[in-house]
Amino acid sequence: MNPETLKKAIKDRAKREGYRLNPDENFLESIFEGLYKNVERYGYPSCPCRLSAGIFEEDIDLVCPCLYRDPDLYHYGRCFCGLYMTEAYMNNKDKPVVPNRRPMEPAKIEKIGSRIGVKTVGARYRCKSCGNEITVDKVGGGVLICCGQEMELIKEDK
Amino acid sequence: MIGYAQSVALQRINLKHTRNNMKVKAYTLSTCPYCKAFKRFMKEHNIPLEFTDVDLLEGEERTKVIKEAYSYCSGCGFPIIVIGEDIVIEGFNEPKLREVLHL
Ligand code: SF4
Repeated sequence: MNPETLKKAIKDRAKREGYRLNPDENFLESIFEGLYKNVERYGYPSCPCRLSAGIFEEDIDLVCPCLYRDPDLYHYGRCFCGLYMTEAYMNNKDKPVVPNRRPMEPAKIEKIGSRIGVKTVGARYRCKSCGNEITVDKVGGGVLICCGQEMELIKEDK
Repeated sequence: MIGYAQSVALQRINLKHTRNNMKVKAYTLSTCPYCKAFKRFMKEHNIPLEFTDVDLLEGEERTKVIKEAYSYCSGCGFPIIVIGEDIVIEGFNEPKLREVLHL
């Protein structure tokens, strides 16, 4: 991969998925530069605006387009770095600041292991990051994850 | 070739003092456009800035600095700007920065 193929891949992807890229050419170049620097030093284009560990398994949620892009586009109309945007965001005068959705300690599979998560029907869980709230209809026992972290139990049953 | 750690472990730009004499330090990323814009902003306003590009550090120093940086922030958006002892601005929030630095 070279800088040009990376750029082309991102541009093609945005078109395919119906998103727009930041219209500020200088800013765009700066993002591409950052992404390409990460390709060179880590082997993958991890998010230029967040700290990567340099270990693929730990950075998997940060590989651009990161795990947080779509929820951020849905909520704010822009990804955290400001590379991807929605048409509506571009036409909107209000440009909300996008907070970092990545949890400080992302849920790790080895930490969750075989632990039982959901235990009761009717229990309610909330995502500390995006605010999704869900009610359990059927117990499967697994641990619930949203926005890369464990959901918080807010009510045990109905 | 110089290693990452040596190249930009800790850079100091010693210019004039801030109007209210508060020391400004920041934890930054070498790849982040907002960090770059922030550094440019400080330079343009002649405000001394002590910054560390955290992603360029290695080994023990990296662990130490990350711990220190994260102790200041809640969501960890870079740059993490620390003004004086206890004013923390996460991300390049220009209006907030202007307000705090009386610009
Ligand atoms: S925030 Fe945007 S630029 Fe950064 S990794 Fe996610 S999609 Fe890519």
